[in-house]
Amino acid sequence: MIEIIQTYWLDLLIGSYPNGPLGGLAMTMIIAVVSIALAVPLGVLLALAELSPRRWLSLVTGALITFVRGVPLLMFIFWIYFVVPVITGISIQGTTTLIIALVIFESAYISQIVKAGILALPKGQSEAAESLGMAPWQINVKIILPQAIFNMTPSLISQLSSAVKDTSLGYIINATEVTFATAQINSILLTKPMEVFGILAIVFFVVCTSLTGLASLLEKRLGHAQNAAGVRAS
Amino acid sequence: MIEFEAVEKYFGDRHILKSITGSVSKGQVVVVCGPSGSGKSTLIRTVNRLESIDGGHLRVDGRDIHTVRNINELRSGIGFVFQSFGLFPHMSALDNVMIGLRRVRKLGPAEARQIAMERLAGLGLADKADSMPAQLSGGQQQRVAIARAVSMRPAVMLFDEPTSALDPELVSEVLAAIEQLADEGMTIICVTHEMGFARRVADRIWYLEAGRLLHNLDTEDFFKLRQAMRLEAASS
Ligand SMILES: Nc1ncnc2c1ncn2[C@@H]1O[C@H](COP(=O)(O)OP(=O)(O)OP(=O)(O)O)[C@@H](O)[C@H]1O
Ligand SMILES: [Mg+2]
Repeated sequence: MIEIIQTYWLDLLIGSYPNGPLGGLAMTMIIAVVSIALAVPLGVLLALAELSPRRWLSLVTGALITFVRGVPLLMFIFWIYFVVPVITGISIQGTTTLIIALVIFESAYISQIVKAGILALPKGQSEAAESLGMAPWQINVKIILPQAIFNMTPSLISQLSSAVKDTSLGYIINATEVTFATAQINSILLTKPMEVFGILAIVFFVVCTSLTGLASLLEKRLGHAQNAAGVRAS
Repeated sequence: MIEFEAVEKYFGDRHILKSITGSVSKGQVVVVCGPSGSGKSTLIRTVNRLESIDGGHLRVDGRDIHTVRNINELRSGIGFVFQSFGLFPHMSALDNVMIGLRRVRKLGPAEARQIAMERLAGLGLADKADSMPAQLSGGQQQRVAIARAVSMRPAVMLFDEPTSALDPELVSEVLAAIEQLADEGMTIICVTHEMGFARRVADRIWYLEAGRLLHNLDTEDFFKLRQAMRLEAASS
């Protein structure tokens, strides 16, 4: 195992770059981070739409979110990779497909995190802002969302962790991420699948457990800070 | 200045405000009191339309606030202070006071800061401007909330039990701040159980019971009546 790592660590880390496209763990992290970074604003919009007093907007958005959450990520990957080119004539490359699919998929989950964060705020917050004469969009941008998103940072980091794991599905469509790199090493060595995929398991485990560890650490910190504030305010 | 005309309010099929009629003139201080659940909060919240009304009319400065088009403009001229302060916990005391001036009054940062600092200083909070709400005592938080409302130069200030979430030793500093406003000629409606304060500061007392405005009396008359009722209750 150590030998394999010594020989192939660079491939695991960056794929065949600079001779080919960037891949490996670096690409996995880029895909996950970019997807979440794009999914957060989209998730915020979805959450606001679902909580909108306009009934039709709330219903349509709610149905859309329920649909996305009721379908596996792989479906979106297949649709974007195989179906979209048939309809539009434009074929989309594997890594781009994976990012688009992840953004759609994660934004639905993130919308529920943001929604929970908004609903957890005391009603007095929006009432106080309304009483000052602030417009609804100002209240969202200045008062509600900063608090909701800040309080939800731990959940968003957990979501990043599951996005990291989900990038492995990109293997199917030749997105050059760490699973793809590992599979290539496996087909060079042929006789060492246990070691090779053992390394892959360890890589995922270390990255994702660090992220969830960070999330629960933040969770505790925020919990303490909030309790302190809550005691004073009550 | 504020006129209630046969105002009705329902929550579902529960009749919460029953034909409330009364008026508050400019510079007057009205204390609203009554038993828990009698509709005091609901009444005061209808004045800036935090609660809608289901019948009658409510006019502020001659404008029927439940038909007015731009509710935000109207609200910005009515200060509201909540029992639970309602400070924005992610902003410093100064930013809490500045946000209405910046976002609603559209003042520049320098001017907004100057007005906010003056208000905070006026309430004895000059050295707390950069503190976060969680670092302040309840009394200080409530005074920041008052500074925030007053900085908008409202025509009316509404208080809904501003001291009942406070530790007893912090009540007087907040009452003093309200009294100071009253002395400056502010029009005030204040829901409170602090009867000593009411007697000192109020011009009129509104006594609500089960959604009805049972008494609407000059302060002196109200306390005479209360005294008489006490004697009657004691002798029966
Ligand atoms: N949003 C609401 N939905 C349904 N019922 C409500 C709502 N707000 C208040 N009520 C009911 O209306 C009645 C009057 O409530 P309100 O809060 O105005 O009373 P209050 O006089 O302020 O009481 P307290 O002294 O306890 O603050 C109560 O019976 C209460 O349960
Ligand atoms: Mg009340």
